[in-house]
Amino acid sequence: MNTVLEVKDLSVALKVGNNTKQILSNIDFTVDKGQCLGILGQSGSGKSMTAKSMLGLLDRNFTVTGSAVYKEKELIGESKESLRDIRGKEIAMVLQNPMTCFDPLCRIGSQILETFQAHTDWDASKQQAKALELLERMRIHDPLEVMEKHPHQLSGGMLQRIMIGIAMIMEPSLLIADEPTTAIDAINQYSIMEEFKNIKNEYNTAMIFITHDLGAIAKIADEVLVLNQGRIADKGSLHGILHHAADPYTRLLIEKRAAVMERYHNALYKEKLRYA
Amino acid sequence: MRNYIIKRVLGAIPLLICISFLCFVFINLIPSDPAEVALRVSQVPVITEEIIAETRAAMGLDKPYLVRYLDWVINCLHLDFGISYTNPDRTVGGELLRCLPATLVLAGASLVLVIFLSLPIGFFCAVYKDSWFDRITRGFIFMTTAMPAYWVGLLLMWLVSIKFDLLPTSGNGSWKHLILPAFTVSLTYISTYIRLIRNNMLENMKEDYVLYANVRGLPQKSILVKHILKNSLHTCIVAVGMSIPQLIAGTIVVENVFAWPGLGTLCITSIFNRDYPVIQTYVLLIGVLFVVFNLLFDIIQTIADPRLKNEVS
Ligand SMILES: Nc1ncnc2c1ncn2[C@@H]1O[C@H](COP(=O)(O)OP(=O)(O)OP(=O)(O)O)[C@@H](O)[C@H]1O
Ligand SMILES: [Mg+2]
Repeated sequence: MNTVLEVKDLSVALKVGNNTKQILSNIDFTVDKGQCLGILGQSGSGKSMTAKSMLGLLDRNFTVTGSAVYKEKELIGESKESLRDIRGKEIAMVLQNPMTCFDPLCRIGSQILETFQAHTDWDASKQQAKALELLERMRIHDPLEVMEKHPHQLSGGMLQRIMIGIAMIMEPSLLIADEPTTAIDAINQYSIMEEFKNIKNEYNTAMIFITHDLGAIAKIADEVLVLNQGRIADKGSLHGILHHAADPYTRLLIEKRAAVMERYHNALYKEKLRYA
Repeated sequence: MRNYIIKRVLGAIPLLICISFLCFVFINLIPSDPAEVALRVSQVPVITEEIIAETRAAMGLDKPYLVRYLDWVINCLHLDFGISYTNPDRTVGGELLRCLPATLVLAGASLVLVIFLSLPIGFFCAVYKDSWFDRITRGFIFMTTAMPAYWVGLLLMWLVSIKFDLLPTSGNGSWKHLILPAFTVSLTYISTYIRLIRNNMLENMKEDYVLYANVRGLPQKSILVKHILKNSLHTCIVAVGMSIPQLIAGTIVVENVFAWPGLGTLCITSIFNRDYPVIQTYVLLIGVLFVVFNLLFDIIQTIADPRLKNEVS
């Protein structure tokens, strides 16, 4: 079996007073080992919701229906505690805002170690060694010093890398990255993307890469799912989506992106002419 | 860090000067003549204009306002707060010291009650939001904020002491005497703190770091206690700092209801007797307590918060 995650008919409704608001409707997709599914869509289209609903991260006001089978185990309707065991260990996730994702009062080291304590029975020295390994693997300088730091003392790019490190050190079968490059600057964005490419090539981890950036998707995804207002607008291979999108919304996204790129190239070209 | 503390302490000095000045001015605005009052309480049979003038001179009341203020401040700095009019053989400092322990015991017991009741109740209200426990607590908070302390005190006294005869109505001596007044003093604070902790925790639960803790699969208990509660209490530090002098000052009414022989009772008695030095010193003491505790807990907050701590050092 190569399929790591199979999602069928996933729907999420939100109860507000007596009304229900449909947030996701009938989402289907599968992710295989070593493969990366890109989820593309505007802000508010339900990308994060897709990931959160599978992992039981939504509160009681949301009703999740449908099925999400992870390695022959149904996630929807699974008890909170057993989902807690899966999260962070089998299915790891990297979030969008690294600057606000760490507890501001706790040292980075203790936040790394508490993740180990939740999922392993490693002793203190092994935990310490693993934490250092994680930081080194993510090319963090002075890992020992960084462990003693508080989140506000580190940059967004560094925190994002630590988050990826924490996700990968547990060797998960599925990695979900929810807009991991949106909140950081361009140089860090590049190196973070490289990090994800490495993970894909080295570990063969199944991956869901959520973004509204077509450029990022083009770098890493094999299959693409386009969401629009909580529904699947388009689905297919990266090449297929880029060149023969069936859905008008997807075409709009791609054309906009192409137009931006064209303007950008034109601007560069003009600059060159001016200096020539 | 050291510089920061020194700077903050120095910064409090102008505030203390303002407080002492206001305290002096207000007490001197009271429309009766201190000299006359002093004579009356010491039961001088015939009060003539001459005797009043004499006493004024003896008490230094004929000197200019500012000079009298400065004299008073300098004396205060030497811990000499003057002599009580009603009991000329007692110093004001001695009177306050005599009554202080009872008030501290009452305020301390109230603080302990506040912490040990509001912390768990607030915590569980947030964790089980909208459960019957949370709803009952919210009703209780609503009721207590609408009832003044002296009224609650009287009500409790009637119910517990008179109806059921469980605890003594007034006086002090044993821990049994302490329960009702301490509970009365703490009641409004308990509601305030339950609400503060509950709302802080609910706010914190929406933060990204809680989502990320859940994403990492940390145990629910550790997320609640180690992260959410810790962050919520952090914002309570300054509030606690302000509540301590408030508790000490706030015992004034309750002490009188329960005849608790503390500063509050002394203060009310002094007001009836027009014993100016005592009133003036009491007001000054409470003002200074507010400044000192505010300063102290501000510094504690700064030291406890890694973000602020880095900023100042
Ligand atoms: N806690 C919530 N309460 C009510 N509505 C919510 C909540 N969270 C999300 N939604 C709604 O669900 C929809 C999908 O949200 P979601 O967070 O999945 O968007 P997204 O595609 O991840 O957007 P972004 O790019 O901004 O992260 C949005 O329309 C939003 O209004
Ligand atoms: Mg999102």
